[in-house]
Amino acid sequence: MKQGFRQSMAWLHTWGGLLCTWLLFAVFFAGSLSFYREELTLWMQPELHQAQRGGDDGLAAALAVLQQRAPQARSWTIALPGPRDPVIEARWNHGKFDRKAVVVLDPATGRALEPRETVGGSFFRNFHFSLMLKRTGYWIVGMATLMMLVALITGVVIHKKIFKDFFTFRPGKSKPRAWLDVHNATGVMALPFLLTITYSGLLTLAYVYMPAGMIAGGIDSERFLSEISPRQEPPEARSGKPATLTALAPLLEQARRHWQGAAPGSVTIHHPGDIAAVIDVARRRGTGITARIEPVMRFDGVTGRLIAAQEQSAPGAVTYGAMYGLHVAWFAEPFLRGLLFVMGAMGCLVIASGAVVWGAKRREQHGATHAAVGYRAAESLNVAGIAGMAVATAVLLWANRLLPAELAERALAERQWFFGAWLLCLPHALLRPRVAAWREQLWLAAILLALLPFAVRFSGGLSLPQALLQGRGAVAGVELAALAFAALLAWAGYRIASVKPALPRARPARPLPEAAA
Amino acid sequence: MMLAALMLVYAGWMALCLAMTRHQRPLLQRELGRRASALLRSGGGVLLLLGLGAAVCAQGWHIGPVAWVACLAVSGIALVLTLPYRPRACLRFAGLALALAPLLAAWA
Repeated sequence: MKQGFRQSMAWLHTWGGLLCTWLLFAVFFAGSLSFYREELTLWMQPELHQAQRGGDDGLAAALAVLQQRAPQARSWTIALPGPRDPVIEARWNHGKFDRKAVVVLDPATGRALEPRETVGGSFFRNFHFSLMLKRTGYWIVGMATLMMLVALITGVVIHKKIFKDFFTFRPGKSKPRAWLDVHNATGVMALPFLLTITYSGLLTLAYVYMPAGMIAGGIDSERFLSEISPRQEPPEARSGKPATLTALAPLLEQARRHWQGAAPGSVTIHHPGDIAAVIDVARRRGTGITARIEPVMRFDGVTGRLIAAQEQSAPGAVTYGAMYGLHVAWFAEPFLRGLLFVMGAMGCLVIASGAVVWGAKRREQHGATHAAVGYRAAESLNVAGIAGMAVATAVLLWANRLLPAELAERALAERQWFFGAWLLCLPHALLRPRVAAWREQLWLAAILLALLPFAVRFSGGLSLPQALLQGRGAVAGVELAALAFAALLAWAGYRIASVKPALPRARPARPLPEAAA
Repeated sequence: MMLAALMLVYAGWMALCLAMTRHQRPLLQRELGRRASALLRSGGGVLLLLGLGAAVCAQGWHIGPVAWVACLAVSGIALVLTLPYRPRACLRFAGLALALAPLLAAWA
């Protein structure tokens, strides 16, 4: 090979990056939104907006409901309300998983709530690592993530003046140069975050991507996951002799003291109502940086005596838990969560600006008259992949508000609206001139998001002023963020529309961008 | 305390930026001598480390460094993207940030 090392790295960075741009943007976009998964889920269930934490966090009410609905269940699990999740969830289990075996309660009043079926914020979380394609999706996202890692490293290699250009951004220069500055400066500043999130993202699914160690050890992925999470051994069988359950509050208090003030997150009661009953109290997730290895304390269900307090996980589990924890950031309090979200958005900016640099350079090299089919297709994919993602997200949020609450298969319908809107963005981007396509999609998303606070009329729940007055940060936050993004997208659309092409357009037969107005 | 960390890191980035000859003219309308630049460079480094200290005080040793890296990235990107448009405002904000940081640290 005649080329130098740096040239070949540049080639890899450019074409490898371009190949994965749209997918990586979608992954970073949805992944950033997943930092606010619980807030989005709450916003998408207006029936829960009024729920509030109360005296005993609704524990008594949850036990009463479980006693009434499923006295013979194999186990009950009560998910306690937390700072980001105001409701209490009571589940029961008759031996196999049943999605419907759950009641959601308002902790303050003990009243059962009936939230609408929705994809919730989990949609973005699931989409960002599986594309809703299960294992196939894991692999597609895994390849793209690996390419991201390659792009980060080759990016550092080909960036000749990494320290000299550290603070350099020249918006007055030519378009490719200015966008390259944005790409470089944000990429370098966000590099620690980008490397961490990409690498830890790969590791969260390492047992899928590199199962060699597991295969050699003769274990499957289910066994791997169960060995990582510190679940206690299943308790002895039900005896058949009835007995009264001990009071839960003192056990929770004991657990809280044991964990030096860290709150319990859930309580599982095995064999409720039996003399062999056993109670497991698990610490709330996000107490430390590790995730998925929250310690569990086990009590006798009748006497309340402590049976076992599992202290430390195996080193391998802690390593995996730390990597997983870094990725999902359950530890982040609101301020840090905000910073992480901004960094996720910066990751999107790095990817999108890379795509813009590519397009601008091609146009500079070949002139604005260059209209090869491949370039045209790549530019259209840029529009649909970047602006279209914003449109699809806005449509999903609207679908959540507009679809009737009692609709059957409602979550599926929401998903179909998201993907339908996203798919429609592609022909639009292919058919319209480049600048007009950008502007129209950005503005459509801006309008949909700007009007989102009015959607409460169709669904009930807290309106933006009510949420602000009552201090419901999650509900108000989602709508304020929608307004902020609406302003940002409108501005971006305006800026793109105000850029005049230097040369006459390639195909005069096409309508001019003004036709959109 | 986290806000103090963010402010310290922003001021630190600004000091490092001021230490570079190419940024001195737009920001200060003149070029600084070698000694002043070196002083700014070490001062910037110290401010970044103080930011780490504030983040660790706020969040402990396991989460603090992660929070610090987040502060570094967010304040750095904010600085770079606004610098060419409003260099003087950035400079004033860095001064304000430096003044506010101890107050924020004492308050929270």
